[in-house]
Amino acid sequence: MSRMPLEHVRILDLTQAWAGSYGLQLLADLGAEVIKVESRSRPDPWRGGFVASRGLPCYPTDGPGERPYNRSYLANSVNRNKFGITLDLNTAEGRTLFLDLAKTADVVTENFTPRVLSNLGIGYDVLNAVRPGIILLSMPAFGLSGPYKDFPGIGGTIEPMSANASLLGEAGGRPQVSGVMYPDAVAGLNGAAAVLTALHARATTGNGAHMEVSQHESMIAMLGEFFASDTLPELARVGNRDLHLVPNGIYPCAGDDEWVAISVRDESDWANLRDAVDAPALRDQALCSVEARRAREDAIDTAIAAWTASRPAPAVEELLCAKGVPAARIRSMPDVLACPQLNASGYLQSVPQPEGIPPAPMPGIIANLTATPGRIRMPATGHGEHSHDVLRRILGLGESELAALEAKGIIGAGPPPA
Amino acid sequence: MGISLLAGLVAIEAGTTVKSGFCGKLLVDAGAEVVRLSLPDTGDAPLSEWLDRGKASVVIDWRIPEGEVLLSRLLARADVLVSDFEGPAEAAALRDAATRHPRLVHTVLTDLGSSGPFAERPATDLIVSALSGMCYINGQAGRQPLREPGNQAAIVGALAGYIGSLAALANRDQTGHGQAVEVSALEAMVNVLSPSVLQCSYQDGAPHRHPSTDGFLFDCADGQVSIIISAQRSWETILDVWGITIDPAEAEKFTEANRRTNMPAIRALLAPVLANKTRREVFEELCMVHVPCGMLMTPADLPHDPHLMQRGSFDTLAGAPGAKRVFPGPGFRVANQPPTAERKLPVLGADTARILAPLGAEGGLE
Repeated sequence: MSRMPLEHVRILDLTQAWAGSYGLQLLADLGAEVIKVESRSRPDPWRGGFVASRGLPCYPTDGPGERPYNRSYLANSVNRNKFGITLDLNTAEGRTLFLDLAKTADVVTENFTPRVLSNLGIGYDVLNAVRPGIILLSMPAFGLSGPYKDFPGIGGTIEPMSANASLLGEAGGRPQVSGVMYPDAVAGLNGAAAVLTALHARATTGNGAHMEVSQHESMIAMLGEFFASDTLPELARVGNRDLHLVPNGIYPCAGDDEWVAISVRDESDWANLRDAVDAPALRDQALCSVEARRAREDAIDTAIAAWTASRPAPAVEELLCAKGVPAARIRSMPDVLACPQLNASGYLQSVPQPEGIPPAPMPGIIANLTATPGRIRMPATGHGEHSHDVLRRILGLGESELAALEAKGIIGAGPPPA
Repeated sequence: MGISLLAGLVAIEAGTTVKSGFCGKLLVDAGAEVVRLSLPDTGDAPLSEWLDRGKASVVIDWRIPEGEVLLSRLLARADVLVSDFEGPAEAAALRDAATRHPRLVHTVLTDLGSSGPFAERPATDLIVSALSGMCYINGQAGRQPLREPGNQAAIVGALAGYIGSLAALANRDQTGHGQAVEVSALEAMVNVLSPSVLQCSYQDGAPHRHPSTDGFLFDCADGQVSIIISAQRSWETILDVWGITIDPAEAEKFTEANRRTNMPAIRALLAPVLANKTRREVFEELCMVHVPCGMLMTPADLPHDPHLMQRGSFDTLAGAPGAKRVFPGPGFRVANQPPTAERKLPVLGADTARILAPLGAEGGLE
C-alpha cells in the first residue's frame, strides 16, 4: 500500500451535522487521522438522537434497531474513515483530556456559534498555547464577525440569504431551495480547502492559523457569474437557461418523469442539434448565433420539447451524443448507482456499514492522487465507538482510568449512565 | 490585503472552462502567484472579470517546439499546473511536459473523467448536473428538474481540484515528489450528494423532488423570508415572540408531526403578523431568539447587506470603466481578516515578457 497524502496529519473534529463532518471526511479519505469528538449526552444531531427520531426519517427500511444513533444514513454518509470518541467538554476532566489530545494534534475543527469554543475554555489562544502552530478551523453559519455572527443558520436559510434561492426556479415561478441542504456540502468543501491551505502555510513558515468558513459567504462565492454586470439587475429565474449557452435546457421525454438535458456549446453543436430535431422553428439560418437564438429561446425550447416528448430519454441521449451534442437523461440516484462511468472507474465502491447494515455503494475519494491515492478504510464511526482505543493509544490511559471516566459519563458510547 | 497563506507558491492555470478558472481563482485568492496560460488563438476566458482578477496572463503556443521549451521553463519554476483542455493534442502536450518535472503537481480537471466510457462524451455544467443526480432532486414534483443556478457543478469540480492539489502538495512536503491528480466534476458532484447516495441503499429507493420546494418561504411586507418551523422549540418560540395563539380545535394541525403537511394552515396563521413586518425585521427578531430564519436576497441586495459590508465580503474590480463592479470574495479566510483586495484584471498575454524574460526566454517569445 502506498502512503496516503495526509497520513501525517491529526485532526480533532468537533463539527456536527453535514457541513463540517463532510469536509473532514474529505480529509480523512485522503489519509488524515480524524478523531470525531462528540458529547456523551448530546450526539451529533445527524445521528437522529438516542431514541429513534420521528422528525428525521434517516433509518434503514428494517428499522432504527437497538442503536438508532449509529444507523442514520445521514451521519453514516459523512463520517467514514474517522475515529469516534466522546468527551464531556463541560467538565474539567473532559476539557483537560481534550487539551491533552490537542497537544498532539495538527488541526482542530468546529462549527459552533462564535462564542462557544472560548466559553468551553478551548478557544484559539488556548489551543495555540498548548500546541504552538496548531490550525483551528471555525465554521459558523455567518462567520466570526459582523452583525449576524451569533445568528443561527442552516442550509434552508442560507439558500435565500446567499441569493441562491432567488436564482433557483422556473421562469415566472417562485424561488426555490435545493432538494438537499446543499450549502452545507459547499461549506464542507471550503472547510477542507481552508485546512489544506493552512497546512501548506505551516509547512512553509511553521506558523499555524485560525481559519474561518462562513457558510453564507461560501455559498455566495458559487454565484460570482451573476455579478458580472455593472447594474446588478434583479435577475429573474430562468429555469436551466445559461448566461452564455442557447439552448440549454431540460426537456420532457416519453414515460413517467423522464427528462433529457441538452446543451449547445457552439455553432457546430447547434447545426447538429438542428439536423437531429429537424423542426421548422429551428431551420432559420439567422439562428446561427447565440444572440439570435436568445431572442427566440422560447420558440426553440418549445420545438425541442415537442421533439423529445415522444422519444425515450436514453434514445435522445444516445442519438445526440453520437452527433457530438451534449445530452444526458436526467438520472435518479438509483440510475447514478448504475452509471457506467462511475462504476468502470471504480469511483463508486461498496463500503461496509455499521450495525449489521449491508455494505452499500458510496462515492469514492473526491480527488484521485494517482501516485498516493486516498482510501476508504473504515465504515462510519459509531457514537463514541473508539473512546477507549483513542485515549489508550494517544494519551496512554489505563483501564481503571477509562472505567472511571465512563462511569462519570465523560466518555463512552451511547446514552450516558442514568 | 488578501490572504497570503500560499505566498511563494507558483501555479500555472491552463484551461478554457470555469473549472480551471475557478481553481486558479481559489489559488490566487489564497495568496499564490497564478499565471493564466493561453494559446495564441484563444480569446479571453469566459467570465474573466469574475475569475481572473489578480492573475497574470501569458500566451505561449506550446504545440510547437519553441513554445514547448518556454512551457518547460515555466513549469520548472511552478509548484502546480491546473489544466482542463479537452482537445487531445493540447492535453497530451501538457501532460507530457508535466511529467518531465517530478516535483510538479499536475491537476487535470475534466467534466466526466479522463478515461472510461463517458470520457469522450460532450458535456457542460448542465450535463454534469444531470448525470450526478442533482437535477432529479431539484425542482418541484411533476415539474421540470433543475440544476443549481450558474456553473456550480464546474465550481464543485474546481473545489475538488483545489483540495486534490493542496493534498498533493502536503504529500510533496513529506516525500519530495509531485504527481498527477485527476478530478472529474461528475465525481465531485456525486461526492457532494453522498447523503442522497446512501439514502438510496438504506431506504431502498430514490429521493424524489418534493411537492413544494419553496421550502419554508413566507411572504412578508417587502419580500419573502425562510422560517424553519420544523423543530418544536423553534415553533413554540415563534408563537411566543409574536403572541400568536392557536385555537384548541385546530391544535392537531400544528403538532411537530403534522406541521410539514399543513403548510397552508401555517401560512394562514403567520400571515397577519408577517404582512406588517419587513424581511429584515422578521430575520432579526427570529434570529435573536435563535430561530433559524433567512431573508430572500438577490445578487443586487448582497453587496449592500450590512453584515457582508462589515466583513469585507466583496471585492472591487480595479480600473473598471463606469460604475464600480463588485464580486463575491472567497469562501474561506483567515479568521477576522478581510479576505480580499482591489485587484486588476489581466490583459491577455500582457505578462508574457515579464514572466518569461527571467527564465532566459528573451527572443523566443513571438
